[in-house]
Amino acid sequence: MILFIIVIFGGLAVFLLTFAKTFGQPEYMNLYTHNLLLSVMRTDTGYTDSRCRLVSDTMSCAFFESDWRCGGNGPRCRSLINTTITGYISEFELIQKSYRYLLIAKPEYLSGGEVINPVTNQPLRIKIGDLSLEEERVNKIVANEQIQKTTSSGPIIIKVQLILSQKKD
Amino acid sequence: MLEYVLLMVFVVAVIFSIMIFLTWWQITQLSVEKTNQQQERVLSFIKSFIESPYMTKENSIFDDGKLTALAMIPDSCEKLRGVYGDDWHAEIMLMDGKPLRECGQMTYPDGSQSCNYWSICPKQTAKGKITQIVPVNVYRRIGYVLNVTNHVLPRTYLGTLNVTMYV
Repeated sequence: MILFIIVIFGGLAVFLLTFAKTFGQPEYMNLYTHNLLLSVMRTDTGYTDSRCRLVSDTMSCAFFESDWRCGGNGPRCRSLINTTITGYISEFELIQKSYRYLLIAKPEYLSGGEVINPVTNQPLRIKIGDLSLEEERVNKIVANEQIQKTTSSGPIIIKVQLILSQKKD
Repeated sequence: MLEYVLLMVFVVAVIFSIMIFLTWWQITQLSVEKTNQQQERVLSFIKSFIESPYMTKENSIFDDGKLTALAMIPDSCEKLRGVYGDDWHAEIMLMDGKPLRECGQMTYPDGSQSCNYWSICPKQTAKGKITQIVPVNVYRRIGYVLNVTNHVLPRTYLGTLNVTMYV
């Protein structure tokens, strides 16, 4: 009987402790995720031409001038955006050790409609990171940012979303 | 009669167990509450720090000129402690892949004397501390020197703000 009581109290204690721990960190991770996305978008890529200077410039170039070569004969915008974002996000120890990430970018017209790829007839998208995160039903921390650009087809908003999810041990 | 005695012993044992458990739970909750309050304090500090006009160009973008100036003013830490309170230490690091070198009077953003690390207020020796790290940017007026024209362009780097609160 005493063993029974100990087991019940032990179980209750573990449950309550888990509950307390789960709700201890979300505000910090929200700030971290938001600042991570914002900082990566505002960082220089290392190229000085206006289409490739910042990560956000290169993102716009990757959608609308994807064949443009940064720095004259450097990598194409689409390739540079992949390597730069992957490289920058992977530099953060917290992400490396404990989190999976997915970055999704999609351009939209100011009126609200999505920009369609004329070749595939699908909405334009750039996805970098763990693609399975988009569909998985797990706890996610999400940060959103918007980049405004003027293109030949008018002003565009690129909506960028960063999703983080804790790795399973 | 013996059964009643056993039953009484059992009931008393259960009551004692509940009392001990509730006391332990209360102590644990107080400890959790204390940790949460400390973490909230660090977060509030970080939020005000990344918006500070003394160090940033705009929200979350530290200005290397302002940071280096702070490092060179002898009583800058006392002045900052007057604004942000005591018992903290902050470090801003560039993520440029180079070995850490502290910025100060004898360092420059470029060349062989280049630096990539600012330490604001000295580290303290305290029993307890909480450290939180957030991604930020660092703006450097001397970012690129163009070979052809010799023009200097600014550059925004990726970096981290590490804040330690002593408790």
